[in-house]
Amino acid sequence: MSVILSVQNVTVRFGGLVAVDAATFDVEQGTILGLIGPNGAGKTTLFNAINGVYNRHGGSIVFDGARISGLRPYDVAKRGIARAHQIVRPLNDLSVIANVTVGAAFGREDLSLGAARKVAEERLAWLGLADRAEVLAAKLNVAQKKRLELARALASKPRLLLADEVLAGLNPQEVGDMLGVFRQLRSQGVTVVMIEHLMHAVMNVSDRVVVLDYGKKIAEGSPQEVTNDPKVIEAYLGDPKLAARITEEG
Amino acid sequence: MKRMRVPFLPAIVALLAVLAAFPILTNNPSMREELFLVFMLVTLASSINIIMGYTGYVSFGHIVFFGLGGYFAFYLMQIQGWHFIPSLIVAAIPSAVIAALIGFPILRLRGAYFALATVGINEAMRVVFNNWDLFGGAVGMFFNFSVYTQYGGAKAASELAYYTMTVVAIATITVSYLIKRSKFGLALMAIREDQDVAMIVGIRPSRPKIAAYVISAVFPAMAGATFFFKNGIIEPGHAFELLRSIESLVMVVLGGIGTVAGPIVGAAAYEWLRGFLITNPALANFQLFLAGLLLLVTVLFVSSGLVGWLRERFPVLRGYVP
Amino acid sequence: MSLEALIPSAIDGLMLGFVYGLAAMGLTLIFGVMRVINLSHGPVIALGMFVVYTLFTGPLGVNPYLGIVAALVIGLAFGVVEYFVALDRVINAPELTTLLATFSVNLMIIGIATSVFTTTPRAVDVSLGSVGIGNVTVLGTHAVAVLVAIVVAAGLYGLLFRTRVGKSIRAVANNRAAAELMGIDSRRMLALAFGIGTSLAMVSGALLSTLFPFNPLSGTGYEVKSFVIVVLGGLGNPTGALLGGIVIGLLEGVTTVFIPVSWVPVLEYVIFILILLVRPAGLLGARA
Repeated sequence: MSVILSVQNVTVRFGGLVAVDAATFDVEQGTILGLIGPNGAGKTTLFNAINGVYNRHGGSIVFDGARISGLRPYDVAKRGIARAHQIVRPLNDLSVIANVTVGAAFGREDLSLGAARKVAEERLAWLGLADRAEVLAAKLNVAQKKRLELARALASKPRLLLADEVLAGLNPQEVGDMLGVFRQLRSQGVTVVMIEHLMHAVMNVSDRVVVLDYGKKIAEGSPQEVTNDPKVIEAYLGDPKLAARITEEG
Repeated sequence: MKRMRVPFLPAIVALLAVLAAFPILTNNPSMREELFLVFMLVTLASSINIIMGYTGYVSFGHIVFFGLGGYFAFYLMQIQGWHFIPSLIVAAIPSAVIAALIGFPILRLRGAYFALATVGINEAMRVVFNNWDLFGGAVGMFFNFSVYTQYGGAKAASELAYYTMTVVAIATITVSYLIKRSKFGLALMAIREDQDVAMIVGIRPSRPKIAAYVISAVFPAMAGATFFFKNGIIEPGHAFELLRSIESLVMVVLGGIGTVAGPIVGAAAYEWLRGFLITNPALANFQLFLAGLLLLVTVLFVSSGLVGWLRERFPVLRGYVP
Repeated sequence: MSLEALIPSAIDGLMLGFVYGLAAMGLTLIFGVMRVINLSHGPVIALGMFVVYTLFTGPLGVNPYLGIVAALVIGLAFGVVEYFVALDRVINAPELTTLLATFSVNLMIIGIATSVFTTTPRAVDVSLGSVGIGNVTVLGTHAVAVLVAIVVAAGLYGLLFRTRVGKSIRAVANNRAAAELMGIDSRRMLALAFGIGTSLAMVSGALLSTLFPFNPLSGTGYEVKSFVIVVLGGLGNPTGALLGGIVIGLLEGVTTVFIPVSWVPVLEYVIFILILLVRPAGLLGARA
């Protein structure tokens, strides 16, 4: 196994506020990393640093052996990093299939429109949106928009997927389906970093877990190790009973 | 984005060609004048639609390129003694270059700031030409009648302008259609919907935006060259008339923003309506008022325009009317 | 260039700047509160001129300065009505929609005004003599225009910063959703803000009618000038608009001493575009 993403001492400041404070961790190729932490811990900010939305940060981010710190988002995308947003951002006035075609046409593969459309159709079928292909994205319901967000990200055939709370707001059945998608991705060699509040889901699917609190990494390890880490229980969960419950569910 | 290829483009080109031939075959000069104007408006509206409808940048002062094309071509014909056709083609080049130079900084502005900047640029050009003696200053430039003799007289020159405007309009529609169906067009529409997401999926926005702006500038420049060739006189107030710019936006919205057919329908409907109001003595005075009222009703209640409304109402149309 | 020529034209420009600033304050207030660029601003300025004109030339022969008070009230009412008719339904739509909605009102006003008043130039003949200090002569009408502009601007400040209503308007401008959670009726505040902005434009037009001849299309020039001033002062910033007006007025006054009058607008538009590109927040705003 080789390290595909290496985050070294990454620090993001907004004025005086330090949103991410010297975060350091590695992700091995073909694994799922769960990124957890209370609200405001800096998880989404860290994603923004990785995919170039905040490209002026301290420290360094190395993807597949090359430094990507300071690159603009489109250059990061070309290298094979895709992002699914926490707050879904469909291209509202375009059809569902057009949304996904955008992902396929401009990402890593830089496909022609026809080829991109074929990939988009595959992705929609995979995520169960095939029958909604010609509908305007704005007309989808929340769960469908979540799947569209993921389909668009996956259409670029990324090597690394940054999935920001894609499970939030889904019912248990849908959560199960989505976890299935993540496992399939892993089996195809795609690396996934997922931010998630749904603990049992993260613990269930992740190979490793990183815990952020106030921008700092406070723990890292297997799901088992992290849930048994007293620092996590105290600082993050604050409630040993909840921790116990999560461990059982995991 | 349709699986089924529909013959929209050949159909609309054939329709316009037949329409254009009609006044010539029936020897009807007033209808020819009317159609000349309609083709010009179709060109302006379809061009604005590329930057505004596809890309999401409200180019309020877009008429600046109409004026620039008009001025450059007029200069070549009047001062350098060139023939109209090469003048038209050559005049489009500096217009495109200026669009690229302007586009580079102002397309970084978003929303209202961009709209205001385009107004400022149009007004600035107007006052610059107002002061520029090379182009006749505030008085402008005008042809001697003898200029038209090389085209076989004023009537023949007028017909040449008419054919040219027809070709320019058809070219604009063709390019507009091809963009809408292309990967480039998809990038523009992604930028329109959410530029940040477009960047995250791998689109570098500056290049397609500038390309769209330049393309949307070239056809109005040609239309301006043709219009002022036929007009025989050009002056700053007429070349850079902000109201005409805004009228073109109105046509786009009336017909259906972001669609290929919308600007065509909107331009035809707007011109038909204006003709109707002007010739009706009871309504002539209220022409502007009624135009405003119609616009308000469209904006408030039919925001997707005529074509958009029809497509929503009859989804089967979507396969046929892009 | 001699100082004798410079000082009077600077003073002239300065005074005109206050009147420009007043119109620009209306435009910028509306933008600041609801993110709408009001394209009916110019015709509304012209309406202000015709309110004074109609009352003055009518059977009552109302004094133009009383006419200004009428313009203030009519402007407020007109703006509130315009908001509910043309904007309320589309207030959250993208800017193209609100641009076109206000432009449709522009067309309607110009359509009616040109059919009622034609485009023949009109003038309100009012003379208040002049005051001479040394070799500088100040026309009474100019002095009064400045005075009225200052009083109205001060009134706006009092309203925005010293009253409950003003606080509500500022809250809505700041964060509409949060203001609503605090129990503020945001629609009413938006309508009121639009009314106040329109009223400022009308008062400015009313003042201009005592200075220059005009017709229903005269507002357009002042509207474009207002855009320039508003961008100079920072979109949405009333203090900036007043200062921007003064700067533009001074610029017009002073530069005409050095360059031909016809080049002054070139300078204005170049400044306008440069500020948009380099400091879109305006001269007073924070660096973008």
